[in-house]
Amino acid sequence: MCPTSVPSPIDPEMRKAGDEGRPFVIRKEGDDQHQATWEKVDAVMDNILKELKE
Amino acid sequence: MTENTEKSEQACDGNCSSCGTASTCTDPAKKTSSPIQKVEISVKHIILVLSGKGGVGGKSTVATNLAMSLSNKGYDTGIVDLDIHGPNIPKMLGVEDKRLESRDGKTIEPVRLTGKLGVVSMAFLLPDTSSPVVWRGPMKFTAIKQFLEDVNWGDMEYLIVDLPPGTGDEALAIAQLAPNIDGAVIVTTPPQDVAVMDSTKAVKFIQQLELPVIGIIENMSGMICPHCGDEIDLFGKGGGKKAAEELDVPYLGSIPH
Repeated sequence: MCPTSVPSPIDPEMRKAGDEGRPFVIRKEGDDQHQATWEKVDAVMDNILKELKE
Repeated sequence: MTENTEKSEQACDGNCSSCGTASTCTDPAKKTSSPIQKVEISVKHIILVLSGKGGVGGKSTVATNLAMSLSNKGYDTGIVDLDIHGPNIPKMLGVEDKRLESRDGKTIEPVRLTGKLGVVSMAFLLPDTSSPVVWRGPMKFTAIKQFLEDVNWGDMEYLIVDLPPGTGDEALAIAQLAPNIDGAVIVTTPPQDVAVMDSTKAVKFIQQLELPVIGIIENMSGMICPHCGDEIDLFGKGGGKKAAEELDVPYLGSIPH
């Protein structure tokens, strides 16, 4: 069972974008707070940079 | 002579350098008349983002995410939205009311989101979000050339190019014009058969343009639960990885909803 009392890990800005019909949230410059989606995005970007260096 | 041929000849002004269909032109006399010159641009790396088809895969979202990730890592980054007919990156970034401006009357300044991230899009030139852009290939070619050549990208390190769906004029134009393309990232979705089919088209297209394929990203790969943070499989997984293996290109990872 999903514990709904747990605070949402989604960035409030992302939620706001969704409510406004925008599919995306602006990640602020220097924002490195824990966020599962962003960790995946950063991992993909690291892989791209690794491929470019090879 | 057929009606189509007559129209095609009427549209041709004999200037291949400004023609978006120069690379596919079947007239040998016209095709060899003048090779397209690369533009002068001081951006160090250019990465194309495309997919075999569009409208559902989140290609623009991925392009924007990657650009923001790069800028967050401290790189001076730009996004150029080459979806001339359906530019939506400004909307995604919440800057659709901005306009492109020039300080010196010669070069165009990208719309700055942060100190490290600038964006250029056709959306900044349209009177409103419902205005259609009804352009043929040569006009798109000219606009893309201006987006590269006339924009003050400075000594930006990375330029992420969001291409429109499919394999058409815009991708051909950027391949012909940009001097330092590192390669292309192909965005696909989880269902395996669809991913392989769409990625194959995109990979072959990039290879025909003689550009490197950096790799494949699987987008919409599961969903992060807003309550518990667990990842939920919505449409299955593994299409991107399977496509990468079959096409023998790097798999770059997955991004959830």
